[in-house]
Amino acid sequence: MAGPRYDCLDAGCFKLPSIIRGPDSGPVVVIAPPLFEEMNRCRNLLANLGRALEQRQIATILPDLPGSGDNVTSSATLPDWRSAFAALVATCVSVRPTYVFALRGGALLTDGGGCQGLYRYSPARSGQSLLRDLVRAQAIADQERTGDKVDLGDYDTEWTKGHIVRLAGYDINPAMAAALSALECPAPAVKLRTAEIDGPAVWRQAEPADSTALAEALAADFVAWIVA
Amino acid sequence: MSTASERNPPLAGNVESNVRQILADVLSLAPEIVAGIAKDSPLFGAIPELDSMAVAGLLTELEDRLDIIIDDDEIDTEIFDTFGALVDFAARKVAG
Repeated sequence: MAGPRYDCLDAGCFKLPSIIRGPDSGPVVVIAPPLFEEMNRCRNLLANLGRALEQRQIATILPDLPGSGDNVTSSATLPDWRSAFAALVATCVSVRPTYVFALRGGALLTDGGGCQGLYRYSPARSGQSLLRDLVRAQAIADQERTGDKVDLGDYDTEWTKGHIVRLAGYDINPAMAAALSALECPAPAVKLRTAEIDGPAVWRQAEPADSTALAEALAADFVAWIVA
Repeated sequence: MSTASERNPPLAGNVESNVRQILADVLSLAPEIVAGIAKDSPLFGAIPELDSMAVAGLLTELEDRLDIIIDDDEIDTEIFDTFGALVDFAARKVAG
């Protein structure tokens, strides 16, 4: 295998630093990544998935959304994430067969519009559920640090005042909090598969378990689906 | 003659096995580690896989799999002091 390549890909008015694996022709899978800390915990799973698909002659693109990873944008909004991802998919669709693989929060950002199929694995239930996890994690961490139980409503109060709240290492401004609260998993615009494959919930783990077998199972299931 | 409590084991016993399984599943703990967790085993701060984000995830899994709702004012590190404290909390929620 050639190994991963790194490039800044055009996505509408954004440039998305991306990890690209696999052949330059044939099908490509654009990965809608998990959001916030869950992405860090899934990085190894997505690398394993990229390798497993490359072995099956399928290319993958794993973009850093505006304001995440190597994509330094201080003012990124949730609509930015959606439009940047949609533009990246549109760019791929114009040159080769394109599929979307959406994991966790990534599933909330795309309906797969324009591509040939949308594959979801463990999609987040809603933006509200992701925000709630961040708020709870911060409350637990704050209590651990100060010894005092936290009133979770305090974070809402800060947003009401227009302040940015740092949750589990992520600066969440009032607009992002509001957008997440309203974010639901969109109805698919293309053929959909939601995979039911057992594996470690690495996005929940401070020390993610080995995901090699899960990545292999996902890649095999994905290939069976696109050729069906 | 068996007592009522022996014929109908308290729900806490079932909750305990459920919580143990959820802990094992969420954190992908090795079977020998899961089997070795006792009521007085410390959790938060003692299991490296369990940090504040993992605690939040564990709460969500408990809600989903035990069909309970954990209120904002119940979010407290004391729930995770020991395995027994977590089981007791879950049992109280299941009992309503």
